[in-house]
Amino acid sequence: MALRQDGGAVMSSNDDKKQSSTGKTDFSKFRLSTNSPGMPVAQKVLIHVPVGKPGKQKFVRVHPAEKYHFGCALLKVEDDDRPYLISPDIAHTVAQDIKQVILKLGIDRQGNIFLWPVPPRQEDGNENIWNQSHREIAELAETFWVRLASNRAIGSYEPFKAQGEIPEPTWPDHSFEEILEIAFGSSHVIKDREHPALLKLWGIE
Amino acid sequence: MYKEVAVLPFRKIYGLDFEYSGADGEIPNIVCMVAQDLWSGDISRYWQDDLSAMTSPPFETGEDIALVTYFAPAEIQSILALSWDIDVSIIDLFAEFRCATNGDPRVGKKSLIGALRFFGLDHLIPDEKDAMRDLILSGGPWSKDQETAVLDYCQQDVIALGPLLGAMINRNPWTELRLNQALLRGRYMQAVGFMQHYGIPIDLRLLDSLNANWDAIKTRLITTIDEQYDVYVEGSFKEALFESYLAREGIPWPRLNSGRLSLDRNTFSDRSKRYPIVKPLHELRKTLGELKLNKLAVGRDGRNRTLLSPFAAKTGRNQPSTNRFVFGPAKWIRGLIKPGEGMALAYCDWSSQEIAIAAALSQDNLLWDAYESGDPYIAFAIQAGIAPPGATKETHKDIRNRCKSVVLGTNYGMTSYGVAQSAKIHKLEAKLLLQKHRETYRTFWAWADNNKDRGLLGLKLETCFGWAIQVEAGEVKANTFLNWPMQAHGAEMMRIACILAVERGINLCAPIHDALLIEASIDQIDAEVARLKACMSEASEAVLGDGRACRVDASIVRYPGRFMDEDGQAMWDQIMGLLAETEG
Repeated sequence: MALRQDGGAVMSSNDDKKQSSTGKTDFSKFRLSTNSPGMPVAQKVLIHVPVGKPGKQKFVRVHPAEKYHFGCALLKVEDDDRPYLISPDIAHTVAQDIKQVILKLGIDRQGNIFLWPVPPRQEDGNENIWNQSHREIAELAETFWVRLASNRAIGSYEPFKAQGEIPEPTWPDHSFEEILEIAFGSSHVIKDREHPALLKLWGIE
Repeated sequence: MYKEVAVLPFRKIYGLDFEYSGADGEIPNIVCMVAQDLWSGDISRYWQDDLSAMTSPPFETGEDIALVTYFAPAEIQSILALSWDIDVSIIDLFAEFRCATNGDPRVGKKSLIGALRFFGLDHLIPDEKDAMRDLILSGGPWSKDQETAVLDYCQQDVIALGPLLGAMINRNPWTELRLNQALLRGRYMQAVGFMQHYGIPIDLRLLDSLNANWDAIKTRLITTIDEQYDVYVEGSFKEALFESYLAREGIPWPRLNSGRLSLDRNTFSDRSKRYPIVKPLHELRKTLGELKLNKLAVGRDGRNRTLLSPFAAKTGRNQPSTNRFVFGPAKWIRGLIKPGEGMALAYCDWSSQEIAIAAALSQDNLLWDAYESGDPYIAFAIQAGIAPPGATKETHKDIRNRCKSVVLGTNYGMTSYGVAQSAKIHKLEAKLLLQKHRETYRTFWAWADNNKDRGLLGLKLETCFGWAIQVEAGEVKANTFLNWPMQAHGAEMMRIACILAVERGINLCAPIHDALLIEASIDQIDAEVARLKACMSEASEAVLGDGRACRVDASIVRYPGRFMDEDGQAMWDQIMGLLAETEG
């Protein structure tokens, strides 16, 4: 740059400061290529997946793919909020205490995932209305953002469908097996009769 | 790769330093200059009499000549004061030291001494700094011995420049790109030198009147404004009375851990937005507490000249003194800016610059569409389904205001509480709006979150022209890295616009965040605004890339009009009224 004494400065003759045919200065020789988002340097690690029915004020979606649905038996033990996943081989030993469910992968508006134990369809058609409405709402959540609320007056759950356009959820990359592993870990899977949860249930320990 | 000074691609490289004296706001009075040929090591020393007799510098000039300086604006101001024409490349070691160590907690002072110490060049640290500075600032006359001592002192700085540059490029060798970026920063430092020389026109007569009557005005100002609050006693703000006032008005007020009221500027600013009744009191406290009229650096020629402090902030933005720079104190003070007879000023700023940068750099096309629409706030409302297609500022004013708080706040990592305060809405609604923003601009958020993670991991964040930050130790805030790319690229945009404007002969007075102030004769101002707009548009395109540019708005003040900030108008009117009363 040449500074001028009459209150200004004049363009220099240096090549990089010459204006192009468009009349603009070429700044490419100074420029780094930063105009790309680049590879992520960090990724959220999933370490906890709750298992349970969504709260009554939470709008949720259910993954529509069958591979994210899993029929199984769950055992709830007092003083432990987290249910146990029980192997079919020994489920009959605690038949009175277990609950047959279909675990479905769910997600809330903040992107938090959970496993939703949904009552399976009863083949004999003799079904509790609470379970039936519960299951229907979970099915509705495969297409719409819904929240589930109980209505004791009519003895049923009621779905509330979100109004307006809400973006589709972004599902995590994890496989369903990985999610099950995170949700139950090794401590909350019962594979044999020696499991502490069963011993406690039977009053042995 | 350039690993040593000897291989840098210049015909000659000189280390250069001036010593000068002079009051704040005045054109410096040059005392001496020392130059060193960094290849031969030859040193040339010149006293003020020799220098003022010269019509051109006593060293070779041309684009293939590099001047190495530590804070070049001072040297440029000196060169302009001597009425020399120069055409050189500049490597400013202050800018390069800042760039290379920005965010490094090991760096203490950013001075030449700090830089020499950082690079283990302690043996080159000049001594007797304070005593010699006082001798120079005394303005003379100096004895022959003192003249020699001052020249020796100046020489100490100069002979440190070559080794410092050598140490810098030896530690982190410069690529061609890195050298080019250093030279670009050097061009900005020249532009800063020009602006610090040129200054901002001030209504000197009025400033003198205000200074002469300031104590009386302050007393009257307190009496007038305090009428509705009753919180001052004999000119002093009383916390207990303010607490009573808040109780009377039912205004909730944040408290410190000690239980006392939080009375800092930010609390007053936040509460004023929520409870406008408090705003006049906030303005009064700002005016009384921060305004030191006599510190405003105004020369006898009526121009505000002060250090613009380039590259002082972590973002690379300028940080001029809040007392000396006319744009620093309370906003009403800007009314003192007034073009001389036959002259005009223009204030040009980029419209929604940060949103444009966020959209362009993240490559979020939806966010760019929102920016390009001309109203990114209503565009967000429509894109997020909060307002129907076709909604405008007029039809959906309320929704637009809420969305504005969200769009502006997200760049700073504003929480739902912050958005709720700013938009005066419920926290749950603020939370929902923030979520809508995240869902609407997913690409932007992925990019922004990644920047945050990079910063927190101690990795380097860098602008497209090489200004960087890397924090490998010490306390850091995640939101610093969220906002840094927008601010740092905004600073790059401002620097390039200043370079282009000054190099194209526009009379640039000063940069003010994302705005530039220029001066021209009344008959030339419209043409000069068009030329400045072209520079600013070009600068935005250089930063945003892909042919994207920021819009530029301009407002012009012609003599006898004066500059005025909208937010300062009420206080200005009040103070002018009190001045008239005081002067009788």
